[in-house]
Amino acid sequence: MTGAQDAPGPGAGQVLLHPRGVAEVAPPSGQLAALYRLSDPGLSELSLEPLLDELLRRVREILDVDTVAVLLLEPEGTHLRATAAKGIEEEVEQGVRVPVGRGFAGRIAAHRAPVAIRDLSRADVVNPILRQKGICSMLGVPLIAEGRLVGVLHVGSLVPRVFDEQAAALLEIAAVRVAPAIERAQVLEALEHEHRGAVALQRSLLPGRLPQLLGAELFARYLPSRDLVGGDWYDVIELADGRIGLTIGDVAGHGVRAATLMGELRTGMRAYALEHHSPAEVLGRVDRLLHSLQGEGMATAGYGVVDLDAASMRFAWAGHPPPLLIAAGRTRTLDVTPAPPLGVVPYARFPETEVALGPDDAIVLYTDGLVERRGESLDVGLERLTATADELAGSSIEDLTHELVERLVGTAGTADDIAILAVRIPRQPTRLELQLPADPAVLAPVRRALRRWLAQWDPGPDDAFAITLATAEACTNAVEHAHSPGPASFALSASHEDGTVTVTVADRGAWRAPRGRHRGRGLALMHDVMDEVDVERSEDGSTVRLRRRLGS
Amino acid sequence: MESADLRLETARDVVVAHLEGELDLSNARGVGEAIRRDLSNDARALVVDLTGVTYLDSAAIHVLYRLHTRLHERAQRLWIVVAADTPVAATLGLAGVLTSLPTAPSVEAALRALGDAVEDG
Repeated sequence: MTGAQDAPGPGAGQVLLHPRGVAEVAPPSGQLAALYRLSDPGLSELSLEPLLDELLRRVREILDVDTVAVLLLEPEGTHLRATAAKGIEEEVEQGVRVPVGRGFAGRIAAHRAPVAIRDLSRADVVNPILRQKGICSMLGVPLIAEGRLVGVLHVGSLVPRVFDEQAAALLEIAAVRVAPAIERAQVLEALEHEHRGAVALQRSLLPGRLPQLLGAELFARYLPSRDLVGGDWYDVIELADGRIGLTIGDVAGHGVRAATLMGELRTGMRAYALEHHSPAEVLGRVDRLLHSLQGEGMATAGYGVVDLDAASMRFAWAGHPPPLLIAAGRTRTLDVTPAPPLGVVPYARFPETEVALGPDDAIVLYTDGLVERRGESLDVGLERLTATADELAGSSIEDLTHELVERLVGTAGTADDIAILAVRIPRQPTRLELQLPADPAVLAPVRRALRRWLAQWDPGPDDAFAITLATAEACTNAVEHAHSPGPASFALSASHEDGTVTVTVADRGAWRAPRGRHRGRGLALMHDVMDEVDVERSEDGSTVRLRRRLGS
Repeated sequence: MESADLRLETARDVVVAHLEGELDLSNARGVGEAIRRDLSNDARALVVDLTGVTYLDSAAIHVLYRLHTRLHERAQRLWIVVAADTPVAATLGLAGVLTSLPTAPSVEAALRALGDAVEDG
């Protein structure tokens, strides 16, 4: 053992050991074999935490020491951070950081050479935990991978012990074998962290919750890619007059740039859709938006407007896989007039197509990750999608979405990301039952839902006007009266019997007598247009029952 | 909230408020406030054009009556434009608007009536 006290040598009581070739001091063969196994392929595939755990376990056993710890160099390169320890777990728990160049571990890092301490009480150490644990003697070696310092590995003994050059050689073997695996695990961990961040970004750019719409069932899923960050998106936009805008899209490429471009295009489509442009116009505008953005970008996309009153969807598609229509239990892909993807051709045109939607028909929009397989033409994937959807005819929109993903992609994760959005216009029930939030915003959708329900009884224009107006006034009362802790709601039911329509609106609010000259107007309107108006008021709320004979 | 579009236009000293869409509890009060905010004291009259309105309820009627009261206090006149034989006209009729407030079948007819009123006065 060589004492080396020349500046910048180790501090008092510390011995700098000359780095040596492994072959110079031959350790016993059984120990050597155990240390050589630290570079097992199996071990190098471990992620950082289990890798270090395994390293510490083996080192502690082979060198028969009480403590063993790994400090890794922080990315800035100025400090070491205690990352794993056995026997001195406090080091990690307390997040011990040691400046490179100072103290025991810091000097090993600075000199990239083993350091031994025979008597800790006389040594210059930074970390008080070492003394508190009663460690007497220590030995540490640098972790170096391809010339880069990764960290420091050190061991300690609670009884006085001389760590000789053979012990140092053994620890160095362990360090040499394991340092590249540690570095690889660190890089992978950083990448994983970045991937998680990018996936979180991707998700934050997708709609948080789909709107609850009267008269349409909606369900959507987004599956991130196993390895890459994708640029797939879907969106649902509540338009005026009972129409619903549906978008689907896929930005070419991967990574954070694809995800942010996706966010821009989704917002662009939403903004143009809210201005009530036609599908062709929405795609045309978002195409020009994409051309105007700096840098190259391309995306396939589709925009469809579902009209609940007309029971139809009008859509335009830009180089995107065609929508699926499940109509009367039969599935087909809709014919889409070909148009280029967005961002490719200046002044591209996106022809529109319209399709009628029957009761219980469903439309499925999706991205290519659902159908594409390597080395297979898209047609084969589309046929598989159609056949699978055929098997699922009759299932709920939620089951349909989950099952399509399950059967076509499986649960093992997907190489490409996938967006899927399904909508169904349910058959009108004989009896309408709605539980509604006590929010003025619900009034317009309720009027439209009621008109669509009424249509099956073939009312005259006066009937439709009267029943809609009176019901809306009853709902307005319910919205105004509903007081309850938490979100208040009210119930609407409508039924038809022997040519008479009965509507009941029940809230749980305290009835307030009409105030002022005009406040009784809603009730007066109900009486004006209906054959019968009954209002029941109680402590628990009020119920308004309206009746009108059709054709009266 | 149901969207209703409001467009204000001034023809000499008369402000015309063109409304489009559906008016109900969710938006009627906001529309009424927007009209009053932009109605200057110099304006002699306000014409509320309901030609483009496809539905209105008691909350909207309440706002019309309040507008009438506020304008009356400022010696300003309110005219309502509504096409005959429409659901909106039917609701206004039931609520007494057609018989208690001045109404006209078109903006031109309302402006003409207001012009005549000036000449008369």
